[in-house]
Amino acid sequence: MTLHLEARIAERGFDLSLDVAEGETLAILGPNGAGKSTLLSILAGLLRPDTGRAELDGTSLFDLSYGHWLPPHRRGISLLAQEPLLFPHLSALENVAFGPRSAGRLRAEARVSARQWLSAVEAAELWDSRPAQLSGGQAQRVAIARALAPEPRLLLLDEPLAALDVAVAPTLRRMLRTVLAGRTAILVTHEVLDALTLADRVVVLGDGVIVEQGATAEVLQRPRHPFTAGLAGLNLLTGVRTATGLRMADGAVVTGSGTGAIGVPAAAAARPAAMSVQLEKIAGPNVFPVTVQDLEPRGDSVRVRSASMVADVSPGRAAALGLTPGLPVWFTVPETEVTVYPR
Amino acid sequence: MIVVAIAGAAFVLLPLVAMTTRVNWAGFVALVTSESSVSALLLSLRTSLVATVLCVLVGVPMALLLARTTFVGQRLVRTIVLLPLVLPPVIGGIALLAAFGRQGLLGRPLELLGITVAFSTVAVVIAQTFVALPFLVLSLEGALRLAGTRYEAVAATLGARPTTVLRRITLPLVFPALLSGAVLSFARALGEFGATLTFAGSLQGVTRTLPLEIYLQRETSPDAAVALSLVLVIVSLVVVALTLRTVPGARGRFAA
Repeated sequence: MTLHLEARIAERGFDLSLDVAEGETLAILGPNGAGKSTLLSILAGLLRPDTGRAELDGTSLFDLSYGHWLPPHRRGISLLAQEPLLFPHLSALENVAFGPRSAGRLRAEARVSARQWLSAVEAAELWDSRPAQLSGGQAQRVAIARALAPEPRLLLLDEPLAALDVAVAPTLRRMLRTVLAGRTAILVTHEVLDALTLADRVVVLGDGVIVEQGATAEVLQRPRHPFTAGLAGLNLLTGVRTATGLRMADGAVVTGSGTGAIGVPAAAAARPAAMSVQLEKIAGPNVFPVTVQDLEPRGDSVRVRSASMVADVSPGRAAALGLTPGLPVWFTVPETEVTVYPR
Repeated sequence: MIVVAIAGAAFVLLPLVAMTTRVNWAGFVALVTSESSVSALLLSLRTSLVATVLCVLVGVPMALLLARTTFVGQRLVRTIVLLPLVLPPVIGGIALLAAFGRQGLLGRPLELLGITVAFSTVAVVIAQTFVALPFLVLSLEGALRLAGTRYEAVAATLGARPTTVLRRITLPLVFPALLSGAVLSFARALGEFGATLTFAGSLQGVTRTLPLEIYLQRETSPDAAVALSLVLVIVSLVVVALTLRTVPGARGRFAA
């Protein structure tokens, strides 16, 4: 096990314990204020928790049971933030050379290594530029090179693509995929695509604690927490497993196929596109009375939101039904479209 | 509003223009190159320069402590440091005399070691440093707070020791503010009058700086006083122009 962390901050209700294996990229998902950035700050050495300990590659980063705290510059942990934060008074090359120089390498040596890292992120031609002259995507490339140049044992990424143009993000995401291969890293993101393409495993935080974790595809296909379901774009219904599906807390019955023993807490997931909207109650399973909260155009469909579920219908269907916020309607979904699993 | 603003500008400009009408241009060169004038000007430049260097040496650590740390009594310390800014300089002079005068708190032990501070060129520098220091601390502390600690945090995670962070990140980032603070301190030291007169006296070539010389000349040779005033106005204008050139640059760098 490369990284082991346990940390608690009573005031923020932050209490978690996690491990990251050698060469593994762990994605941290969670709503704002869930404690994602707190986690990175603790690991980087910028924020001291109340209690806890952390170990990286056999070296203790901190152990507050006896007041041990390694300062940031001695941890071998690089942090790549949402904004590139390139030092404005240094050229791109000097920015990248900063880490090796700080580690005591000679200026010429550090520059050679900085050039190599700039080439690795396809930014070699930018070496002489000042940060103010760079575009957002270029600056973030240089920032990636700078974070990698000290050859950190652990790389922390705090929503590295969030501040970029949609046009630039895919290229950078591909580059990060190459960079992260075989590297121990923790990636904080709110973008499900980042988790899918970059991470081996995800941890979902909510209010400072881990609400679910597992292999990325597994967690996204079978979410157990409403936030994860929202990220994965799925409707999530929770209750107790029955022979044909599950029974929700309000007594409503969901029919579908899946796994789990009868009587265990279970969740059911359904895609919004599989849902249909009716004005009258129809016969059959999976018919839920809801009230339309709002309507949102999404490409070639209209997303109909209610308090508990969403449904995607065609614009023509939405017009034919005369959908408006406040209208009581029935959401239905075929039982073949409902996956049930233990939670 | 525009009228008031123009009136305000005129209010500042009018006395200066009025003064130039009083300049005896025929004798200008002779007046400003007289032995006492040149010696006062050189003394002023020399002492102000030394005072500025002292302000930088003392003020940088002070600004860093005020901006980057929290300690008990920090607000009190900040208030005391900024006090000379609002204190009448004469009071500063009296206070300095109480500290460094022959009978002063520190002056007496120094006297026993054979060092006399009061009424020497050293006293001029001390008086100037005393009144000019807040300018440097104030402008640098503001810049440090504005720059924030994010670049410093990034530098630390890249493996830089605190001293490396200070040398390669913090100080270069606030350099424009440091420069403008130093220029302002220099200007304040150059114009220092009250504290200098009280604490250092007015000995030609030793403690009589340009403002003291001007005040003295006003009694005996008003033409010389006006001519020297013009010299000081020009020096001040150059200083202000330098500051205005550096300060917006400082803002631009932090906005990025």
